[in-house]
Amino acid sequence: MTNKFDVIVVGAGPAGSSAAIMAAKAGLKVLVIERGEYVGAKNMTGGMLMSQILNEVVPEFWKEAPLQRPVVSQRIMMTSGARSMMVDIGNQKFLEPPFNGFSVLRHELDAWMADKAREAGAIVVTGTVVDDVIREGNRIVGVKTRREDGDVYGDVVILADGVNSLLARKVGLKKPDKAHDIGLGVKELLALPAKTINERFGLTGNSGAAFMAIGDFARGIPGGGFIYTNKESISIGMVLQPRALIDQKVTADEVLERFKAVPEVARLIEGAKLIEYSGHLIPEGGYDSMSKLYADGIMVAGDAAGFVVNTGITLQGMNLAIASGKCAGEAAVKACRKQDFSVSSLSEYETLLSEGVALNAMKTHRRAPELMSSSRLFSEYPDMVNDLLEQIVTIGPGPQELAMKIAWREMKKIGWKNLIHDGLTGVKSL
Amino acid sequence: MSDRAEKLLTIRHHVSRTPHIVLDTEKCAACLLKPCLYFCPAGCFSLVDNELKFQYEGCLECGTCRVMCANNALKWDYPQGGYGVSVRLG
Repeated sequence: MTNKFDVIVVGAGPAGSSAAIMAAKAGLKVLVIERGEYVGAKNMTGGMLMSQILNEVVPEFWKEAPLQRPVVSQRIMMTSGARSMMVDIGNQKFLEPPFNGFSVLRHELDAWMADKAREAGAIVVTGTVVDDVIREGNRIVGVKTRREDGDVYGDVVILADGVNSLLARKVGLKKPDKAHDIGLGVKELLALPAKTINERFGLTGNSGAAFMAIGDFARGIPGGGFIYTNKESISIGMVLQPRALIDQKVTADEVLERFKAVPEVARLIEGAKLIEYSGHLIPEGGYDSMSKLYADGIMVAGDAAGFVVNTGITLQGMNLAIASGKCAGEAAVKACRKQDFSVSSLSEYETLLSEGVALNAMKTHRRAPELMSSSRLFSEYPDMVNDLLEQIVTIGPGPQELAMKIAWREMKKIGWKNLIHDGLTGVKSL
Repeated sequence: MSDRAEKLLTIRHHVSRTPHIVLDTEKCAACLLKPCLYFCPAGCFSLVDNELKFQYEGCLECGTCRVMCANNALKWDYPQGGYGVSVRLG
């Protein structure tokens, strides 16, 4: 095996494999280097795979990809004490091609995507850490792997090595980390028979449900809970701000236990057997915390670049990873055709990103991190909504009030200044 | 068994002989807050006789300590290729 490639991709997650598929399909010589024992070994998800995004990389992927369930019901839940309210956004059209989104398990999904890259002609090696890049002047011309004679050369290096990307930091593309730019995700996979899942979640056949939940179960820690139905298991987890965990002297797994104990949640998972616990960081800082996307001979995609949007209702990580990885792969193809790997040639990556969903989503939701760091969103608003609804569905001995009057009083509790501030931030970020 | 111990038992690790995270124990001894006791989702940091102990073997490689360690008291790297946490389902 010669050690010179057209494209070297670091990391075989959705971003890396998408880049590799696009580059290898165009006939380039592509090497993907993964540090895990196998592809997917370092990955987990608390999100939904959006159909339209992966369809752009592997058309009609649903015919062969290892998916769990197409999600036809997205539920948003707010809890406050004994009370809860839930909105169910249902759409039975999402049960048929082209679908909308799927619950997935990452080991099988990532392994399949890497196999698609192999099918397209890429070489995928696992169990190999990349420790540094190789430079010629200012240009990056390859990578140093942690193996004997481990230097490998490539015209373009694509960093898709995840949220902790030590390389993006070493190369100077990523600024130093800030505590408020990260979310900590913890998750449990709980086994349940398909029949029980369908009964408890009100589903039929292989249709799936997704939950996003906020409320007092998090005891004021900014963050929310999620639940996804898989074929024969349930993914349940939380995304939390580490800073708040420290302030409250509580661990993420303890907060997850509180979420699991919410009565509406507890009855969904009752008797389910824990089959896997996992944890991962999420780059939640949004557009303003992103890395530089390219330099001479190098591009950054996926979590490594900071392509994540969390609006509290949707969390896009895998999807923006796939979308950005695809653009990086396409930009690599154009650069190889021109045999120009300079920063100006690779600016094509940003052009392609601007035409697609990934960078636009980051810019559109630029203010979302500010909203997500508001503790009001996660405690006072669920209280307010449930106070209001409780007064509407109950009847006391005294005089009756109009719902509008009750709403007025509830909003006053939060304070007009806060309401206007959060309202504006919300409008500008969602 | 505690909830946490039960969770941690479900994780598959391929433990390397060399630790991928190394603490500067002098800095840890001087750290009053010890935020690592709370932010680590795998409970790798613990206090034994008032002294901070770190067990890299159960690490999920999430990177929270890399960002959150208040004193910059740790050196964080990836485990040797193929070692460390191996998520089975994800």
